[in-house]
Amino acid sequence: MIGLTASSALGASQQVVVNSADWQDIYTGMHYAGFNGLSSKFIISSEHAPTLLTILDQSRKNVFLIESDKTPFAFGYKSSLEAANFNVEEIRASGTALNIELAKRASTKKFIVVDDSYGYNAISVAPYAAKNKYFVLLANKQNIDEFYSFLKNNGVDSLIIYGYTDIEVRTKLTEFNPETINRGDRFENNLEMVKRYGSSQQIILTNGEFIEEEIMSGREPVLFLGRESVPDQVIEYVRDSDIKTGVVIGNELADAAHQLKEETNISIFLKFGQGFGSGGFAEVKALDMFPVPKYELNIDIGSIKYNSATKSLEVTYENKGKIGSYLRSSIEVFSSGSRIATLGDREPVFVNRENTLTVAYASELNGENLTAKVTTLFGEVPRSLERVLRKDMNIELIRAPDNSAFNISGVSYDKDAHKLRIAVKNTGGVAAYANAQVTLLIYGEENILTQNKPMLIEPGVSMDAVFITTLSDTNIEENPLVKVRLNYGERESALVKVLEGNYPLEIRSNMLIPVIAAALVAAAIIGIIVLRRKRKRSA
Amino acid sequence: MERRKVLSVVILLLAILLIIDTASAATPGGATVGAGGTSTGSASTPQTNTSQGGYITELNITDATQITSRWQGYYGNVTGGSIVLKDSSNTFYSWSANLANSGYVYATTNTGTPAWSSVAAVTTITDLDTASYWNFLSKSDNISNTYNTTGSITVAGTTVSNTAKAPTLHSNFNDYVIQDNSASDMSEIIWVAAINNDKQNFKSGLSDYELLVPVHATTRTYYFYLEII
Repeated sequence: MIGLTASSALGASQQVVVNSADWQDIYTGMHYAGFNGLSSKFIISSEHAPTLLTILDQSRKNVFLIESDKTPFAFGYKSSLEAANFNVEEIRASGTALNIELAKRASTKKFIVVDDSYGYNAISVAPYAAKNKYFVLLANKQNIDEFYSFLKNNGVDSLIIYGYTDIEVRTKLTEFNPETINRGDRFENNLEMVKRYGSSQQIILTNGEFIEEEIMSGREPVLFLGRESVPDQVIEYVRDSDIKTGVVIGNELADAAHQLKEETNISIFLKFGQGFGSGGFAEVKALDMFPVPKYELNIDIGSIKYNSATKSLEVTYENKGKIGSYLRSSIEVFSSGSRIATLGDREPVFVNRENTLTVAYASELNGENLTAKVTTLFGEVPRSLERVLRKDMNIELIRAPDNSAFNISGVSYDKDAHKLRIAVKNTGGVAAYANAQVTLLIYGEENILTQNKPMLIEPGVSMDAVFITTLSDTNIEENPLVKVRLNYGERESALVKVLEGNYPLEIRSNMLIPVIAAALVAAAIIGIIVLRRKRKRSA
Repeated sequence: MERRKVLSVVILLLAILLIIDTASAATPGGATVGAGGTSTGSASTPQTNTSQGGYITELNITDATQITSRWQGYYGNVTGGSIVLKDSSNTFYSWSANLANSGYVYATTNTGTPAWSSVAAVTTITDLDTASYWNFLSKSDNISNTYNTTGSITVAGTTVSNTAKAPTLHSNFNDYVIQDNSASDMSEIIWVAAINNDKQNFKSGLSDYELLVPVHATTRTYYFYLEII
């Protein structure tokens, strides 16, 4: 239920104030303001609420207050604003309901959909959306039905899906013929939005990690810098463009901005603070910024063991981050300080978020005091392994035979149950663990599904690895063959064996009703035939 | 009798002058620095003199110090960054650097970002005094009397010549006024402090800049920028 109140004789809103501790509400409210060319402010803490009253623009009396009905910083802020002589129209809502309500008020049929887990995607699209009258919807598989109903009723002239989104979101929105922007890399995606914004001599530079008034205004496009360094493709773009001036928001990016200046020779200004002119002397205070969710890549190496029984070096990688990462390692092995081997990955390996993966590198290692010097490149996408982990570790010696053996007998999709099944059989003589990973093409994009926990399967037993996912007929056509990777082994913590292959996708649906119907029809036909024969005999 | 009448009139006149002088003090004396670190000074204490019949008293009205309510001062330091030689995650060598050495600190009430490549000089400073945005008019501490000379600065690689300038009291810092030609109201005005590293400030400490900005009738937010060089 959305609460709406308004002061009497309120004219058109002249500025927007957002009172919420949820970044999505702040984003949606600031985006609404930018969409309508209104100035906006947001409360950043309960202590900030009374201060904001003194610095709001008094020449803009009509305020549109967006107050969260769940997590406002200050309860009942409308009365505070009215006491400060502002005329207030208030909306009390949050989350999806607020997003939809403001989308309705925007009176547009153009929308951009981003996943609400990726704050930097929301920041990236904000200026283009404000300038070109697209309203941004923050969608996921839980709320997509609500957005679908809204879009269906509202009508859609243009729909863009930007960055990674849940499969269910993309499937649900297919009827609106969406355009997809997802180059697989946040910087590439952002560059695409900057190009679409159009030629501009001045640009905002940020890293997509916070909301700030100027970023949301739409007056200039937003270009992402890396937090510590500027990606090469960004430098190249700036060199080839008409950009003469960049404005960095916030102090943390000063070093990266300086690098951009050195590489491209554009002028760079740093917007670093604010002050409230009321007389006397004062400090320059920090800008009002609100952080958005960001996912850190976080790869570590848990252990390195040499298994003399299998003659392999087992390296256990730990993904402590909240998104999946690809990695590729180069491992130098030393015996009492002298290098005896160099091992590694030829292709990137995927480790799911908050998960571990043990990779076995075949090698016969002899020596004492074995140590390893590991260099692991990792990143969000295989072609952008931008982070580096370097670690020196002792190698533990173990002797752990592994007689496990599995095969994959088939891949099927149950349309009625929305389940993808990988049929796995333990063909070895010992109980063993298996963990399946599937790569699907969904509207042209690769998606990897991984089991959260390995299955323990007894010898000779078959079991299905089940993934609950919705595949449309289009997705089914995109995947005549499905790539499956099975990591398995006798030890749950070391699934060192790998089975990989491409398997035909078999479609199954619930045949019970059609079978019953066919049986009834057949029975009816047989009944009619028998009855006719009886009549003939009696005739 | 005649002399007493004249004396009474003179005393009355002097008393009237005293009352007017006391009433025109801009702010009461004594200040409290609260949260936010804003401070202001004390005005000089108005003097009193007791009048008594039958006496002629010499009373000199000397200059009184008043606290301005039309200006705000900002001061501080521009701390340095670093220049490094590194790969994606490891530093090979690092030099400390003042990324804004000898640049400027800018302040504007423009809620949008100024178009830095199209800034220009403010040559008719009196226009700012008459603008209703500040309404300083002919006050002693108006903008014309503060930014009362001219100078040149370089912004985004472009020299802005003969723009209004205000040397600060200690002459260690210079402030300027420029304008953003792309804006359409008085928020286009940009107040500029030239950075002069580690110079004595008004408190006898060390600062890199001092900046004087006018105060509006209603509180406005100033946004601060500096150019990375």
